[in-house]
Amino acid sequence: MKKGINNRDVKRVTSLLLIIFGVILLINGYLQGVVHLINLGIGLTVVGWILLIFTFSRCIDYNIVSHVLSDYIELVKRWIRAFDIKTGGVVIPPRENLRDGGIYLPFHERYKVNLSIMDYNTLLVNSDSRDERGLLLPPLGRGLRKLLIEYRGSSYTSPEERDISYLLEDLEYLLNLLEIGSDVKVEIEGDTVVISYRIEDHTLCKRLQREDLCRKYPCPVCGVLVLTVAEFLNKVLKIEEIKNENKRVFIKLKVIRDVL
Amino acid sequence: MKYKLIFLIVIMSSVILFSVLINEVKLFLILLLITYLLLYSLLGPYFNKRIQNNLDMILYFYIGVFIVIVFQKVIEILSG
Repeated sequence: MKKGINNRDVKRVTSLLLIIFGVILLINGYLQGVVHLINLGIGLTVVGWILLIFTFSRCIDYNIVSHVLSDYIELVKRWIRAFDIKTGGVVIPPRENLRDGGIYLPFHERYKVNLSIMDYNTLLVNSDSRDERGLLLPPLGRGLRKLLIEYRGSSYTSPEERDISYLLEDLEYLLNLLEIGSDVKVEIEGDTVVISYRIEDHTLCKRLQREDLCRKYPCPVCGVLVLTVAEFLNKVLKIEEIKNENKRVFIKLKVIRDVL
Repeated sequence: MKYKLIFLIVIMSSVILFSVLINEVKLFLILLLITYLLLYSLLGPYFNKRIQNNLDMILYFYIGVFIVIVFQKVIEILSG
């Protein structure tokens, strides 16, 4: 289907018109000897140039309560119900065989995490040991994590990136950029990690918490936070609790030590 | 999106204000460079790498213009 004139085309035409108008003003001002016109001509050309640069970027359009997301969550909810999963999700940071990380949902309450049997193509984690069986899903926040890498280039490998303040800056930056939240705090005490942040729109939080889905399979916002923290610590984390109190979300995580 | 809008509004207002008030091209260019630098340092981190690289091109162009203006002034002073 052929697309009509969109917003971006209008902006491009406007920027080109600004540049042309600016150049005409500049030449006219120079010929007439009017400095104000020369100034305005230069200024308009620069503004047109900047506008042209902005039109060549991809626009971020993210809606937390979008129906597409709701449908995806509905699908995951069915998986969780079908397998009768009662434990909280386990966040796996990006690894060699799991490039974008994952959320592992064990079938049994006493479980073991065996990373050697999980890879990019795994959905059902099958093993001889009953405790290692489960469901491996891609985390919902991985798209936002990629966005953060694109904008900030953080990989948490260099010594300055290993500082907790750098992580906080990253998370605060992402929430502000998408206008979905603010005031992120990360507290690490031994094996317990508590992330808290203020969310702008908690409609989805309410729904997910009502259905006890948050703890098992967090939404993209909580998902990107837990995934980034797991990547920063380079540790497998268990989601103990996610609660929302007066538009402030608290995520309690626990480091899993005995990972195979 | 709002950061791009803020950037454009501020730069457009300064262009109109400076072009009306200032009666010299060099001074106008320097003030526009200062405004651009200020906006870029404040709002630049909110733009993606591609935009930042393209905005850097304007910055380098401006720095080139600034160097020319400074050299002209130095030669003017030295020649008395």
